[in-house]
Amino acid sequence: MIDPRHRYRTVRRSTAFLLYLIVAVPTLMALFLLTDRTILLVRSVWETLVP
Amino acid sequence: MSSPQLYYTSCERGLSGCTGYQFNAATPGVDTRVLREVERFTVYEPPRALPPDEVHRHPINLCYSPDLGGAPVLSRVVSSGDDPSGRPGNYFAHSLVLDEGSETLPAELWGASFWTDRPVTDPRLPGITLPPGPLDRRRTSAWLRDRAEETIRGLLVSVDAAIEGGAPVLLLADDEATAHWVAALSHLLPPPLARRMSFATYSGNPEETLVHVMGVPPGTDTRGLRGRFVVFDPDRPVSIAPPPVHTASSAHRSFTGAESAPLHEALDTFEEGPIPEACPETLTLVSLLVHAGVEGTPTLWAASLPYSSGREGPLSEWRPLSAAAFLADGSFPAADPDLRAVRAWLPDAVAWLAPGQSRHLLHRLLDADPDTPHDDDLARLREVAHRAGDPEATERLEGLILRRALDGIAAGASAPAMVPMRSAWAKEEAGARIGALLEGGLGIVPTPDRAVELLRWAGSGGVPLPRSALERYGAGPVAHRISASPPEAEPDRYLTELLAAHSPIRRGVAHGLAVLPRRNLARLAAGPTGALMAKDREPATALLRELRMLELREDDPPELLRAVMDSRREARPWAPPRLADHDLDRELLLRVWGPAPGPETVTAALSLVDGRTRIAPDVGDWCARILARVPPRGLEEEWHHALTLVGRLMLRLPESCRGLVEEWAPVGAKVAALRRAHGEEGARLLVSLAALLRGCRPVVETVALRRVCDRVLDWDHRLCARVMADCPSKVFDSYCEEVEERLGPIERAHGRSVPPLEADLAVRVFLTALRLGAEPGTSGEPGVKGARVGRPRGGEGGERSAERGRTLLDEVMGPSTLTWSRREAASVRKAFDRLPEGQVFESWARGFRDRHGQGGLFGRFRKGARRA
Amino acid sequence: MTDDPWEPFLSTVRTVFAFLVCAVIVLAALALVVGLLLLVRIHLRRIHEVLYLGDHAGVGSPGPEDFAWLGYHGGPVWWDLAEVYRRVRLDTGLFVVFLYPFLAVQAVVAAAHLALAWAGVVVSRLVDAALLAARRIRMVCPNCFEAMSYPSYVCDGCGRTHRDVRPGMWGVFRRHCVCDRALPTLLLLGSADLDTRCPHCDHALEHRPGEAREFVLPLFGAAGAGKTRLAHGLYLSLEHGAELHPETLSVELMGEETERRLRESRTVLSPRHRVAPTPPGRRAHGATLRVAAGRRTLLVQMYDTAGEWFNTHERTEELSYLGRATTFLLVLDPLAVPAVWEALDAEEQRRLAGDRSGARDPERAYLQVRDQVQRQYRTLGAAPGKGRLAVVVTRGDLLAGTSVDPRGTPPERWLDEVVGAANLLRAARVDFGSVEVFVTSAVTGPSGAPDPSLTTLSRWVLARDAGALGATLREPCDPLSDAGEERVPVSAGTGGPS
Repeated sequence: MIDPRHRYRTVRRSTAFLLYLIVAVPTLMALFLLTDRTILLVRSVWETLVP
Repeated sequence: MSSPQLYYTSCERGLSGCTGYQFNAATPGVDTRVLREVERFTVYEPPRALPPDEVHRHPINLCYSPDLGGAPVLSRVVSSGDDPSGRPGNYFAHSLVLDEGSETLPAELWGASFWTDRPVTDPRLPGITLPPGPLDRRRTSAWLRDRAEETIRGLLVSVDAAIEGGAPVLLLADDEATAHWVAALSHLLPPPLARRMSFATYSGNPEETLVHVMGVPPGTDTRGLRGRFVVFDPDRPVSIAPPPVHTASSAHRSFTGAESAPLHEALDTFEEGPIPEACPETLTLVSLLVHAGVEGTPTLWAASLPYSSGREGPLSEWRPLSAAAFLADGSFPAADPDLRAVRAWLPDAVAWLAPGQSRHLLHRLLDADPDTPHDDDLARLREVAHRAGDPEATERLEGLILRRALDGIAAGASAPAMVPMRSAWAKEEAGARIGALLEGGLGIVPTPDRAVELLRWAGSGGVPLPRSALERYGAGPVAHRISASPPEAEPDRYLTELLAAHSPIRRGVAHGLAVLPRRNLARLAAGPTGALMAKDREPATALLRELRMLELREDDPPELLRAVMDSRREARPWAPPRLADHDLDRELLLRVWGPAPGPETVTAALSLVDGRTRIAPDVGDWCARILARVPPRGLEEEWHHALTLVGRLMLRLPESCRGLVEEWAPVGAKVAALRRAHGEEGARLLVSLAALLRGCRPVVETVALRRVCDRVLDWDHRLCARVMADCPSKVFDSYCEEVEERLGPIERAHGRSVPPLEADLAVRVFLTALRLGAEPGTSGEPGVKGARVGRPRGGEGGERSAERGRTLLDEVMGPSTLTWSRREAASVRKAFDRLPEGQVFESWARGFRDRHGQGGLFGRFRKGARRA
Repeated sequence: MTDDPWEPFLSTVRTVFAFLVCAVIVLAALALVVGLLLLVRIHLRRIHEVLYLGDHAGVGSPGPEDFAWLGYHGGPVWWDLAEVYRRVRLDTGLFVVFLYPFLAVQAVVAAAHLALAWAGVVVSRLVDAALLAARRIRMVCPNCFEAMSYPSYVCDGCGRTHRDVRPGMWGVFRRHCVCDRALPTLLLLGSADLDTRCPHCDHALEHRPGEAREFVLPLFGAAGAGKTRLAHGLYLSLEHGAELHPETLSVELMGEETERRLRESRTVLSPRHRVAPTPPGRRAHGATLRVAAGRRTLLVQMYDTAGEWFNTHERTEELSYLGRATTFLLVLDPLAVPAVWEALDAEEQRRLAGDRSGARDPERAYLQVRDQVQRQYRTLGAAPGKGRLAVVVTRGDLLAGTSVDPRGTPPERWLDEVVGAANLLRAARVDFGSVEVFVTSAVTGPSGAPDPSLTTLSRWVLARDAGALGATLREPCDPLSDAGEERVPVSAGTGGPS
């Protein structure tokens, strides 16, 4: 009997790669956005409180 | 019973009314479904290799099916030349609808004289009574003589498989040879199976001939058929030696599965192959049939058929029947394969066999080989015995099952599921076997876990357990394990279960541990092992229980003593090991009360004694030692009671104690009288008592004086002073001690509350002292004018009296006042309120305090040491 | 400017405060980042486990009752999604809500996969059905005569029979047998190459059903009318045409059974050869010919059933292939008709007595078949009166030169005037939309060529269903010049049947 893992390997791996992309890209974007906004916020706070 | 006939051919006149293929004639009453099926079944195509006009050379197809439209039908189909319109290829099928109960096998009717091949004009045919077939066993046997046995075996195996739905068998042989082969198969196979075998001695189109065995002319190209048929060329020689014969009988032989293996390998060498796979049972039976031959098989099947259910299918299912027949016959010892086959088959067969048959087979099985059957086989055979109504076999099998199970458990196997046992004898035997196992019947004594398993299993089946063996087991391995372990250690769960669940084991353990030194035994008894026996009622464990009680001391001493005495008394009739000879002995008393108990222990101990109590001689000695000591103050009454009790019980007392009893008798009476007396009588009695006490033992004297002085303190002070002035010094000393005891500091004893100070007594004592002539201020201290009470006595007596008065004041009462609390002092002062000596007392007391450093600013605030 | 003594202190306080606020912001951001990364890592790891590594016990092997592996779109796509979600939820607890967008995306991917797969299923089935409809392909089992929407196919790896391999849950373009052999799901994709079986009776179908239109051609008539010989003749005429025009016409016997029955047609049609009667015990079975002309292909299922089957209603009722046909051949032995026999002189009767069949009433078979066709047409919802009937008079070669020689007379008139079958023809025209009469001689000439009358009949048979095929068949030529030798009658005094 064939191993089920072997049976659906191609379509599963294709789906997996697609999902890696779909999950990773927005995550990286979100991280970038968060970092950027954090830096901006920190700077504005500092400038406001410490003239 | 006659068989209906059918003629089928292409003719001008027949049952259909048209020209062409139709039933030319038939016996009335044949079902139309049968007719349709016969028409389909008897289709005939002559061989292409032969000219269509050489009809005489065309093969004959004798074909049979057990179920054509619901009836077994045998047909003989021959090529009959041209049809009515002159076309070649016509055939004539003469068919018989057989009676299912007929003894003639279809293949035997090859060459019978009643077959016809010409149509008739009358469409109605009579039924035909079948004569014995010409192709009988003798002819078949003769024909088979020169044929290879491997071919016959291979055919039997293949046909057996074909009947069960496997590939049909194709014989490369002419019609005559095929008919003989089929007849041989029919004669060898069991009759019911032979009747299920359909065949055709010739087939022009094997793929459309739906039979189990068919023949095709030699030279037919079978290459395209090998995947769907098992093809045999019977004429091809095969040089393979037959498997060895097992016994000498020619009619009853069996072969082991291992011996059948060469057969299968031999058959695999057939190039026509593949021969279907066959189980060893089939191969064994096939070899048996081949060896028996077509003339020998009737005997074999005649013997086997009585064991048939009527539903047997392939040869593998017939194999046990032949084995059963052989076993039942008993002429020769049955071989292991036969026994195995019958053992596996009999549990199911009992449903249809007569009880007598089942019983007979069962006994044969048990006699032949009682030890080999697997446990499951035994259980099934037991059911057979029960269903066949054979109590003897049931007993025997149950005994075997139980023995096996027990031996297995003892050897370390897990306990099998208990099968409910019906035989009382078997249970008893099992119990005996358990006993033997516990004593090392298998060469080793079972460990406790095995023993637990054994006993649990036996208990679940209601097997009576052998008490004596359990006792010995307890006395031996269990006791040994317990004694080898630290006393404080918890016994493992198996030992725990053994002890908790089985009183004989506890008995045995008690016996086994009895050899231990008492100290070790006591520690064991006090530990977890002893806890297992604490609630036991077994006499044998009385010692352990006693030791446990004495070690743990959970009850107060009288209860403890009572419990131990009761335990001894109850166990004594069974004489358990190392049980004390007496219910009450000195050692017990020492264990209960220790080395220096007070006189109340004598009372407590002896009050438990009754007429049944066995008292050791040394009890008297113990009592004597206690009574010989001066009792602590306050226990004089108990001493008196104890001495009285000792005297009353007539214990074996040592000489000294007897003397003590005798000495006390009058003293005690005098004391009692004095305690009851009042006034002057008391004084007189005191004098006589004092005289009586001269020369008495110190304990007598002390106890008597204490008891007396206790009473004297209550006398009027004037009387008291008069008596104290003249009494012997011991009496006065005793009086002073009593005063000190009652007015001085009181030791708290075990939670008893301190009684209030007797202020009146203090007044009486003070006045007594004054009466005696004490001057509260005459010791160099400023006195109080007018302190003297009464007229001083003159002379030596007066001096002594004054001395005693001063002693009473300064050495007894004075120190006591120092221990009084302010409240107590106030109460005494208050008691003096009505008396003129109050002031004297007051000044004396103040002066005494001042002299002894208890005055000063805060003197009044001192709590007092009386409640030390 | 005055110097505020508190100023340095306040400045320090502000700086510290600002630092604290910024630190809080940065820490919060860091926490978000770490949390997001953790969650995403968990999600990706689970995707990797379930999808990339295939570690999902819920998607298992086919059970003992199954024949094929489910397609990924047939269930595993959702099961995998659910498993990822389950594992992520176990790992993250309540924080799974932050992953819902990603899980939703995964669900969208799965849904897209499903949509694509099922769209493929629908489209491919539609295309396949449309092609079959356009080519008017209906598949009929020559053994049980049942029509089938799709045959069953046997896996050549393990021998399992797959009942309906068309696209569905078990695959779009390929179905994977339990043994992992990939089977095509459509005829378009080559399923006809597989071992084919009838889904009703499990009979092996060796004629590759579905690849070409099937044409059911029943031959019926009384026993001895000449149906078997005619069947051989029809085949031989087609084969002869293919020999003459190999570049445009090909004829192939499909299946062992057909080959066995028709491979010796030349021998059967030799003038001296007498054909054995067809036993009625043998079940009716279509002989399948694959006739191809250029790009047109036709599977002709010829049913040569024993004449005894047309004697009674009960037996004719079993011939359910009649309802699948639109073209019928009624085979008639003229010598069996009393009117024709009476018209022969004594010498002719003596000569032809051995060739005369026993059936005296040719109409009987016709009436049985007609009733059965009408009944089956009604059952199948087919329109009655749309069929074609050829009344084929056999033994034309034996009648040549006799007093009832049909040569020179239009067959229909000859049938009417000589045979006296006017009633039959009239009834036939009512029952069937088109009726033609043919006089045939099922014999071969010295060169082995079949009589031209067989070619004429073949052309008519194929005219409606495969016009090009019919046109490709050669025009009939003079039978005398082509056939050469006539069939020798049986009772011609030459010493018995040949």
